[in-house]
Amino acid sequence: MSENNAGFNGVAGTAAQKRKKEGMWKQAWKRLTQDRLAMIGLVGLILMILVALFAPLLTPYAPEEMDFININAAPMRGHPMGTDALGRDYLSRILYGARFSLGLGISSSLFSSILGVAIGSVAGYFGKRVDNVIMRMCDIFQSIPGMMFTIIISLLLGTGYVVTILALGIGHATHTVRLTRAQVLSVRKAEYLDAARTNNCGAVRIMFRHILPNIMSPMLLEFTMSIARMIQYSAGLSIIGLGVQPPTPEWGAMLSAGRNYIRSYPHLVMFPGVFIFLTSFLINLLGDGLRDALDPKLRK
Amino acid sequence: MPDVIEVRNLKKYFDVSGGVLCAVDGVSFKVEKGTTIGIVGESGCGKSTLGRTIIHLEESTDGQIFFNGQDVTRLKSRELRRYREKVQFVFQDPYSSLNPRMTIEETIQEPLRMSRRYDKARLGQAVAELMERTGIEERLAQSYPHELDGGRRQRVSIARALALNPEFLVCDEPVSALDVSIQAQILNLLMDIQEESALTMMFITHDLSVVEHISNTIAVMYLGQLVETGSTQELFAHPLHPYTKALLSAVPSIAIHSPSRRIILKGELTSPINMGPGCRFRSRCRHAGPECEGDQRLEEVRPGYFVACCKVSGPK
Amino acid sequence: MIEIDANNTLLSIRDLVVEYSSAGEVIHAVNGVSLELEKGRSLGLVGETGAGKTTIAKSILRILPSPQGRVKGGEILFCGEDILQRPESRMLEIRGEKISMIFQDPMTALNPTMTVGEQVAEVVRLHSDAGGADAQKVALRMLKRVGIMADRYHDYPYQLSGGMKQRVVIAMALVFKPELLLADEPTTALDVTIQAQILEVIRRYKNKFGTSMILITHDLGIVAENCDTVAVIYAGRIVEAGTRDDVFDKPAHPYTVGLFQSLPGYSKGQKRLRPIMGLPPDPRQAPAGCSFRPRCPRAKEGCGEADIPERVLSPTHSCRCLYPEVH
Repeated sequence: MSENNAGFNGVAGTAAQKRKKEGMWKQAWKRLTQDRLAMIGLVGLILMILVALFAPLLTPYAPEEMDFININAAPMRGHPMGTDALGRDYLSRILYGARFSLGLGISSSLFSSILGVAIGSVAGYFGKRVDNVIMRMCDIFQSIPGMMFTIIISLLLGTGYVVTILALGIGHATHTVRLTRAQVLSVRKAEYLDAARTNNCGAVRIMFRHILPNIMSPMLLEFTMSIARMIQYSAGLSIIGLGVQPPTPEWGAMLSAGRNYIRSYPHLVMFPGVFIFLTSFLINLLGDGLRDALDPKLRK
Repeated sequence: MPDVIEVRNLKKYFDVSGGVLCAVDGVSFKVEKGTTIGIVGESGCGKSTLGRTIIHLEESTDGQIFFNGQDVTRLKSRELRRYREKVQFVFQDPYSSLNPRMTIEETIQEPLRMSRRYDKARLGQAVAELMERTGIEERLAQSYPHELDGGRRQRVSIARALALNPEFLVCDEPVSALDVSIQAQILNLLMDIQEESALTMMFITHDLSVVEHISNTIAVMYLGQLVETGSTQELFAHPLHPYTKALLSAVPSIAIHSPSRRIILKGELTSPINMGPGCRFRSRCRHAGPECEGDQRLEEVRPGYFVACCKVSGPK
Repeated sequence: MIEIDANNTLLSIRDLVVEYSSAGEVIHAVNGVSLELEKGRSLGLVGETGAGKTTIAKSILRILPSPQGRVKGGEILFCGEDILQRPESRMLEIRGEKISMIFQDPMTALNPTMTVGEQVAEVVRLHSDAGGADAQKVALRMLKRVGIMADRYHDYPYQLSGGMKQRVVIAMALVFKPELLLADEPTTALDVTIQAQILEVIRRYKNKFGTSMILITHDLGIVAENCDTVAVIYAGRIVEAGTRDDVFDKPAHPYTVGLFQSLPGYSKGQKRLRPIMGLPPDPRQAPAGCSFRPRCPRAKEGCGEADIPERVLSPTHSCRCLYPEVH
């Protein structure tokens, strides 16, 4: 605020000086930190990730370790969340599960974003025939109910952790393709792209330097929100016997395994369910905050 | 002086639903080195498309473009690269012509980097010189466009266009988004630059007082065609085409003691879709008669002064 | 204060202060504006982007964006009635019937899903007892008056050009023969030949019904041709006010002088223009003294100290400058 007397000596540089060298991302971050709900979401998620990373240090048992005396035990001393049908400590499995569930959510979102942004920006930038072909393919894929499509891919690729990531990623990519294409189209008419062309920028440079940075914020938002959806989808897949398979302690898989005992041992369903819910909730809190922070015009 | 740019019978058509939009329909003119031509017309008359076609942001449908005597109508990618270093564009909207995610320095650097003729040290020096030349304070180098006012953004846009010392500069309404006091600063800057470097300019605008000030010759455009062209002084003193007359009379004047007679045109500019033959202005023209059904050609009524109207008699 | 015949005053604004607050920052949009408008006259409010012109108009109609915009002080007397103190129900009567506004962008003023004729008829129905057919008749007559033929009654806004849309907006604003018309840059979005048409429509209407007008514009030429009195506004303050001839023949404030000199064609034959240096001040910081001081060629020590008092140059002409241009 040193420029309070913005220049008796002529040119006043009003806003420019005050926010000197503050990039847009930095400003967005500042706005985000002022949003209490978003910060709850962010801190909660960071905790969750820390738990995932340090699961071996936090858990009393290995996730595969069986306790034959206590099978399907309700929460008790020594097993705060009880045990499952094989006598494995449920707390340990839930904490390890954070690794697999968050990992699966993040990597399948990342995969679907990269795939979707790549295809969508090609469609939006080149337009005409390319666009037409890509969009008609999207139409076809999207006319299959979302879950069904993922199921078909899972059936084709088989089950397992990595395969589930691929199946969810591909199944979800059409959405990102459309979003990216719409975003590219919205900046395509901007005069700075014409300027880039008259300055001899090639298609690659225009794409990476002039288009993508300007559509980053909605894409980042989409990426964040889709993590929650991916975790939920994966649980759905597990329930019908696809997706991640036991003994991997992924929450969806645990939920699925526990559903046979839902009447007698509800804790087997409840704990993974609560954690899936909690993670999704935190992500959505963060996502809503991100939306406001990235696009302050939308506020109020 | 030799002609830097010559355009012969240039046409640019767009396919639209319902037919063909003749945005530019047979336009011819020449621009001498070191002079400025003003292209005047109302929105939708095709003046921006004309500018964009000349710098190859749009490919022409027909006709020819010459740059320093060479035909540049169709260019291969390598020739196009070289052409674009010589012919530059200043855009209308200072809010959309700069990439919001690039700093001022990066923006001005871009053409220099793309030319691959500058190493890092010379790049920095060249940018500093450009900023000084266009009156942008050094401390703004790392700022982003949203931190700048409209006038400064337009300076950045001009600096970027001047980076490679172009010979021909097309300015598309460069000051119409700015307040008058800022507008005057930018016009002065453009005139200074022209004086320093004998730049040839094409100035596209709807603002007649601005073109009168900055141009040597003027071409008045109506629905894709030129209706009148000649030296600025002559055109403002003795406009001949009924459209030019109406246009000039419509400008509100600050001369409160010498009110001019206003010609109020009926109707509005339509869009030039599927144009038939005949004078395109005739539906709004109060002199229109049966002879206007035929095509109008630009006729030289005075040396170097052309009008496309059969009602204007000149030495044949 | 310039002497005004009180009986003939339609609108009188005194010391109006308006602020916007957003994200903890306060923007000083209008900083003590006083204006007088006589019946049947038109006032040109001239200034650059962000000077506070539109804010004044919106304050008169009490349509400032809520809750950001707030009138902090002053009074607005319309026919002797302080409209800032009246309940919203009274404003509903005043708006449209007594005071109307035309906005810069006709597109945002029209509902894209309703035919233009119906939109005019709707205004009639809202403000009177006229039923369906009567309202339609009034709407048709009004549209004809602004130059829109009956066959366009059932057109949607997108089917009309910018000039036609602005005519519809004018028809809606004038349907009840308001006493005061606030025209906020009514032709800025239009081409010059269309601008001439629209101004002609407004002028003819005004002459016929004796409507008063505040014409907000940045174009001094439009003011010269359409206004009786002029107020030049800079950074939320009126820096010069007077009759049209006062201000155009003898501009006194350095800002007014600068505005004229910035115009291409003001001084014929001169190649270089004489722009005002620098930029308008940041409206978030209210500077002490004259707000034009940083850009002023005449600025001296005393300019930065206190608020500049109004200085009466003639019974009709005043300015806020310690060192006004002498003619």
